[in-house]
Amino acid sequence: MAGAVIIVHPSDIVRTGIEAILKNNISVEVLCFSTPEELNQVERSFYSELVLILSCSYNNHETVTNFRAQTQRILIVGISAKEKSNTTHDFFDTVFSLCTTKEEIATKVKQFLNFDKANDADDELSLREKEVLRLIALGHTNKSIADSLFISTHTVISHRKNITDKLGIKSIPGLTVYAIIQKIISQSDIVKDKLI
Amino acid sequence: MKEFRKDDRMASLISANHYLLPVIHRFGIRLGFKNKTVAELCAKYKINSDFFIAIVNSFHNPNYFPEEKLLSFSPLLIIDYLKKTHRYFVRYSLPGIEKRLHQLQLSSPEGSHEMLSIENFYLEYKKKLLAHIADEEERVFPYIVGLISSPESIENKKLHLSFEEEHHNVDLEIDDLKNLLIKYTNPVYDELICNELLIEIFRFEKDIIDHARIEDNILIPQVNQIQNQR
Repeated sequence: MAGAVIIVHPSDIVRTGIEAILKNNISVEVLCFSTPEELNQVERSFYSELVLILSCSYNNHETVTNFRAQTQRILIVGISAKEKSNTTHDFFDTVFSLCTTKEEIATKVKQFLNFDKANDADDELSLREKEVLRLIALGHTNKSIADSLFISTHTVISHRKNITDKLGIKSIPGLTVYAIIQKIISQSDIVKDKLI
Repeated sequence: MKEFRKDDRMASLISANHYLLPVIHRFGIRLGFKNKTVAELCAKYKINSDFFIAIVNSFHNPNYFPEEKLLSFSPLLIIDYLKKTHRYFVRYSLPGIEKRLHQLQLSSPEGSHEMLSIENFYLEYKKKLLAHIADEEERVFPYIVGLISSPESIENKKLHLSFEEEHHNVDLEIDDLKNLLIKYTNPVYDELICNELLIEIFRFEKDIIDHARIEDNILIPQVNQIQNQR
């Protein structure tokens, strides 16, 4: 599994320019396409994390939305044709404008793809994930976790997958021990013979 | 990666990969090899040297997996080897890990629950593994031996044979144990004991994955083939 950057933009100048900035600053795989439809060619299972840099005009494009849903970790960056962009968009995680410096671009990509190992907060669970983990450790099924958190079973499964990916711990007994160590549950919460 | 051959000196196998020591020992071959070759020592200990060389090579190099070659050996030979591996796990690997884990728990400050819960996790894992081993030894292996030696005695009794699921779970948990120790414990215990423990777990994991591979990819296909011929 690897990380990569994908640039989707109709302009040759923009694609070539961003690709050059990235290649000069980070050793990362860069793929370039001129239309979002070409994203379908990408072997998604191969990449565990992606930075997708695309023209702001592809806001809410269906192919891109699917891409977000099907990639474990993804950062979607819009490219605005304005000199400065203050617009924050729900669809884009961040926006680069024509005046964004090459340092800013490289730093942003590096940080997300974890090139700066000092930034090692990637195994930090979100509050929601901690809540799901707590219920897993207490022996709840996906269905009962979904019911008590008012979310779909599908969402529970997706949280579980993220938890496992972040922690590198896959079995339920292993997750239970993790929850005890991190004080997400206390030893007395669990019936020893049943759970660990 | 080097592939061992029958005319290699046994001592050179160990120099190339000392993890082979217990594998060689499992065949009953004792140290004090002198300059004897694999073939010579196998003859001395009455071991099928083709089988021996296939086993050490597949252990040494996970990519070397002579399925066809291994499939040509008698399942009885393979069962014998698997049983010896089980014995090694039960008598040596598991108690070794357990002992170190307990030492580690004792070395952590009083009132710290971390090591206690990791120790419990391991003990539960061990229980499951021992149950799996017992199932193979008491139910599966005798069935296969019967299938070969007196097929008429087990008319129409097809045993459902698949360990992959169970092996998968067993592998997951040993990997979790490693990750818990490496990534998530507070380092308030004796570090040297923990290092030794981890080295032992890594060794055991390699051993058990190799073991599972022989069962899943060699023994089970062989038995299915025999069952289908009947």
